[in-house]
Amino acid sequence: MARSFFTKTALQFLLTSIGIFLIGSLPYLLFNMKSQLEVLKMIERNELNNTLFLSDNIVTNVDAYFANIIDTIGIIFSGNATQYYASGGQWPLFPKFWEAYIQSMQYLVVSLFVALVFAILLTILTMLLPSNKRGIPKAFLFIMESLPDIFIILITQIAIIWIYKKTEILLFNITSGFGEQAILLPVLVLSLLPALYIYKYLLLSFEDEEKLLYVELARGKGLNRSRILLIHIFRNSIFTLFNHFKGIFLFALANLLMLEVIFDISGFMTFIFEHGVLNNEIVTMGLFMIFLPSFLFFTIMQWLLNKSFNVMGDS
Amino acid sequence: MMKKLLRKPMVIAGALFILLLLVGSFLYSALVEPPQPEKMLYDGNGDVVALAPFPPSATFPLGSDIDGNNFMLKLLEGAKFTIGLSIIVALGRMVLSFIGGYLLFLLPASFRKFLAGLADTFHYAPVTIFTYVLIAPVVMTFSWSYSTPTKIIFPMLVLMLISVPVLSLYVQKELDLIAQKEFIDSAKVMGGSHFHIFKAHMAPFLNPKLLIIFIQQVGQVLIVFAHLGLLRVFIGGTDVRVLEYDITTGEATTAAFTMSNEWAGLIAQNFQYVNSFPWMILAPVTAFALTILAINGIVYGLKSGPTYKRKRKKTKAPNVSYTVNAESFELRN
Repeated sequence: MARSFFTKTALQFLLTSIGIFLIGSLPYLLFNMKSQLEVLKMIERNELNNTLFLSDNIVTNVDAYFANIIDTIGIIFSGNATQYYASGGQWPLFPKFWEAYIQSMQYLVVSLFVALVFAILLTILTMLLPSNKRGIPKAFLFIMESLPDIFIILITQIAIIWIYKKTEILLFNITSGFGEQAILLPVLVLSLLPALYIYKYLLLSFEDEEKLLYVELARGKGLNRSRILLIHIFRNSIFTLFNHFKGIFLFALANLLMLEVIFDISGFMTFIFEHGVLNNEIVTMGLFMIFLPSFLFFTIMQWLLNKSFNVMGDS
Repeated sequence: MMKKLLRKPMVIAGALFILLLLVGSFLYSALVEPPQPEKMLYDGNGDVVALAPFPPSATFPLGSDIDGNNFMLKLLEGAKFTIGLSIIVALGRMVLSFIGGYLLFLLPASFRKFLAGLADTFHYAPVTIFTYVLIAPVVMTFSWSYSTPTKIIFPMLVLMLISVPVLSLYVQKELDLIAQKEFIDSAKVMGGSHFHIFKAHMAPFLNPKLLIIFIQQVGQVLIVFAHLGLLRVFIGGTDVRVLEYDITTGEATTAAFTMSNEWAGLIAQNFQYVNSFPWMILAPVTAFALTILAINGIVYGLKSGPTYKRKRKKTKAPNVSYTVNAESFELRN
């Protein structure tokens, strides 16, 4: 049993890694990247003023594509201090990329944790309500989760500026300035939407569990409501929550990008966004830097859950 | 079908909102001559009261842009492009992923697993990043070398294709679920051809699900549009205007403007003013938010069972008392 889990995981890991390489080098398949980069460098060195005579088409350069994949693999496995091209010069990638990564991942992990705590608290509070009075929190949840993330991030930012203008109280640092980092607000905003999603899935799963027979039995035995909720139902919904957590993680990553853009944080995502187009190996590396730890985390969690729930074997 | 839909208030409200927006947008461009923007506001005495951009007020419900154009009207004009494009992209996604899903359904399971493993890559980075990396070279970085049609069509194709792998796998999973049902086996035994079984027995189960995914995809595409707008990508075509010429060298300072008042383009164009004139970015973002809310309302309404049920009148059982006596019975031989 444990071996099949292991081989399955290894295969999955291999396939996703191949997928990352295939996607990371995709620009080389579609564009004549080498000649385009040459032109860009000439423009930025002011050697070329007029570009009207240049034209190009979308192409399929299969050779360049695979050559670039092999190049990228070489760059990643050699572990050399790589360089990236930006605004007319070559710059060392590390430690800048690494620092941005650490900072962004701190935001991400802390806010996911905050989201989890908030969502669990909210779910339990909602579940303590009688079932006919859960409509209002659910309607609120529906509206909040329907709004796009950038709307919520912008609204919070503007609201804080507005409060500052009215009362001269700056609740949080809004944008990161020299030396000082806005920490609290980004974490709170970033945790808002994942919290809503976790809350939604937990609530669904709690309500499903509530209808099951064991809950009725527990009630019949005279256990009180909060005890059934906290111990029995909660334990059983962890599994469902975990299954949704991958989606929530991805969602939080998308939020992170928007957050970094709006709050003007020069983090990991904005780094990929700013330099990924010209240096496609940054995209590939960035994907791996997200993929490796999260895959490890998800696999370990899956393994632990499987062990404690005794669901190894099937599937 | 129609009757069932009409009983769902969320579906009606959402669909009505989007329909009104689209109709209003088309009518506005067709009938109304856009008013000449005024850069200055005058009071009764002809004195200048305010300079554009004007904050939200009675004449400018959502404020105005830097030229003094009414934002409300700009958004109305752009609605047809944004919503129209997102519907086209979502439709393209659906058609391609349906074909892909059906092909996957016919393929052996081992190959399917292989593709599913590859597609798992999409779970480790937001779609916006992938889309950006593929679109930006054409629209921004190497923008000098691609023609205008390419700049419009290529991003649309990327937006369509980027989610085809994941959606195809979803369609294939749904097909698999239906194929496991017993009546499919019976249909096979009765000699139904592949196409017949699909058309007569699988499609009725698949179609409502595809409809829901389609509407969800419209919302997803809108979100990606909004994100791309924030990343300064213009989807609806870019109009490069010359702002000023350098006197000594003759070099032109140019800025990109959206050609069509398309909402994502408005976000892209006005993001620089987010702190000084917040309404200029809030207006298009709110337009996005409301449209996405309407779409999610439709999805929610379609997913949940009929919310409006005619309440059955409780008829009380009539209290009738019977008296039974010897004459009520008759003896039979």
